[in-house]
Amino acid sequence: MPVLLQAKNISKSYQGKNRLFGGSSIKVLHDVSLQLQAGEILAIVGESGSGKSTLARQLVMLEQPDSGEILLDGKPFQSVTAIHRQVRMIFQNPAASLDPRKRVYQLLEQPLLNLTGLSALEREELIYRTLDQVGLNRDQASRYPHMFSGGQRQRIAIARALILNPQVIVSDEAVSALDVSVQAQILNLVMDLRDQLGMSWLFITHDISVVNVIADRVLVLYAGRVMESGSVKEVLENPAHPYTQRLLQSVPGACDSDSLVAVEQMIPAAEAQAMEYTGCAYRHRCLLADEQCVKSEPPMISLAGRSVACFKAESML
Amino acid sequence: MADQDCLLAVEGLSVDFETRSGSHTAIESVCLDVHAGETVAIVGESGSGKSVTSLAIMGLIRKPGVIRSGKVNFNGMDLLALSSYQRRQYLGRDITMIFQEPTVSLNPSYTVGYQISEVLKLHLKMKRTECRKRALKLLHEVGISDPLTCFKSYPHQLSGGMNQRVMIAMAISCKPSLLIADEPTTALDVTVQAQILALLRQLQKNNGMGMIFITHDLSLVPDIAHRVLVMYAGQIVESCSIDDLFTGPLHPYTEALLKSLPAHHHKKGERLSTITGTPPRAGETITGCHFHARCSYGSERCKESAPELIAALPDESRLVRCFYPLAANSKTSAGRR
Repeated sequence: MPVLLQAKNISKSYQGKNRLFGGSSIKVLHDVSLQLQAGEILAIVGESGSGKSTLARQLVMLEQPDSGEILLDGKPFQSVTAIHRQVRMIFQNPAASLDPRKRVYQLLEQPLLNLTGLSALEREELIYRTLDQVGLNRDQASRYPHMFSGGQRQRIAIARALILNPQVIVSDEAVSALDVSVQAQILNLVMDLRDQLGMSWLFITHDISVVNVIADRVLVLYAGRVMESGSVKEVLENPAHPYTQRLLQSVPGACDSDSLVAVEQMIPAAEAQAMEYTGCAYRHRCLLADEQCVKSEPPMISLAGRSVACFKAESML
Repeated sequence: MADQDCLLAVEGLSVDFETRSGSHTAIESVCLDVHAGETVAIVGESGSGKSVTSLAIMGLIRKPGVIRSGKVNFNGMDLLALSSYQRRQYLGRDITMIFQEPTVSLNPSYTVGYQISEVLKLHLKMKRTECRKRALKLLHEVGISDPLTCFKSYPHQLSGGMNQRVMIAMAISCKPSLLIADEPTTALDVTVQAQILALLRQLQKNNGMGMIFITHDLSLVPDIAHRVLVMYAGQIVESCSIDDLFTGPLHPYTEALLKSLPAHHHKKGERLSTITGTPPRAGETITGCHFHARCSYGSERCKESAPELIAALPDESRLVRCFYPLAANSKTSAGRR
């Protein structure tokens, strides 16, 4: 399959406030590379603070990366408007990302007004067709976001992303705020839309069980670095990175986790990012870490059908 | 169940919310009991009345909410009959609660240590130095590796998981006999969630307290609870042990919830099963079974008359609110085998 969206070694730092972070800037993404193929769902998993959302913001050009480049269809990003037509984003909390003072019709019309030259009649037709696609009916177009349930609001957000018929949709934790029964509906909708329209999805989530259901490939992020990436089947059934394994163990019911309380040091990804250290980012929490991991950062290697950044990867398999 | 060894017995608890458009029932004749050393999980979608139940037990229902009827017996004494002053003697000491968002529940302008000490000072009348010693011990107990630094920190300096540990430390500071955890891990990462669940389990084992664990995520339930109550639209629709829940749910709603879990799904690309329709909105008048509009097994009878929460024979300890409980037949045959 052709590669649609490609990120090459992107890095991003934010300037911290002097007093809190000792005057330094915090590097949130470290040389992250990814490839999104046409028609696939790529899941990005990681804890809070691992840089998932920052990565998403770079990919939809809400922010400029410090270094590295992003290619769409093999070409670097040209103009912001072109990118915003081709790559659309869905945010985590639909209650916050939909303007409460606009009706659904207006919410969906806005991207068309901004980015296309369609006539009023064409816009209307497109809006109603998109509402159909996401399972909402025409009468609901004149309502305000607060009149909908959480799941319906997420459908509106999906409709707003779909309406420009983009090549790529980036969804940032699109189902985390929903009840399981509603979450199942939205996941089904994502799979249906992908099958019908053949677009690519970059699906950011922290929930491994969701990845299992919808994604083709998965990329595991920790402290702004790619730990492991490959097909869902390979990576989740047979993780080669200790962190991936740790994530899988944390899925409720996966194992008896009583031992976790004592063993694991409390260094969340966010703190690991702010710390100054050498070597592997995960070594503070890793049970396998030794001198080699302290000395140098593990390079990304190809192993058994996936890429993994760990010195111990071979012994894990 | 015998009442004497029951820690908490809630009987027929109903809460209404008075609004301009009339009175809306949030929960309706909720009954539950918790024994010492037992965890009861309350599961349901948002709006099903899980949190209202826990708030009512704690006596935290504020206007426009009104407790219509019911009793909350705690160690043989009716909490709802007490004055708010009398009730405060027990809340925070014998019955404590952990909330969903630790960062919101902690006061941002006081140090963590001060906030823990406050509880100790109020309920156990401890001196300042004693408080400090005890607070440090508590922080250590909940798995914080550097209690001294944590003691001096403000909530914003700690991560979500650490803050939740602090909340737990506060909740267990007076050795409560009942702990109510309202979605304690929903806002946390999966790795941290696993740790917090393990911690709660361990504390419960050591202290022998009863626990009510409220969650919308059925997949957490087997990790922590002994019994489970499934709530839908303000009513308990099923009450059973964990093993029963996963071997064969009786209520169609429970079955549908279980099926919609992504973890229960095996083949890639296959669609998840969903529950059609939406839960009734607050204030909507429902006749008959609350679930009938979304139920795939419903009949005319379900539309007209409301089922009671009754024992599912032959197993007396299982309760179900349905005219046509699902696996009852297959269950008995499985039992015989």
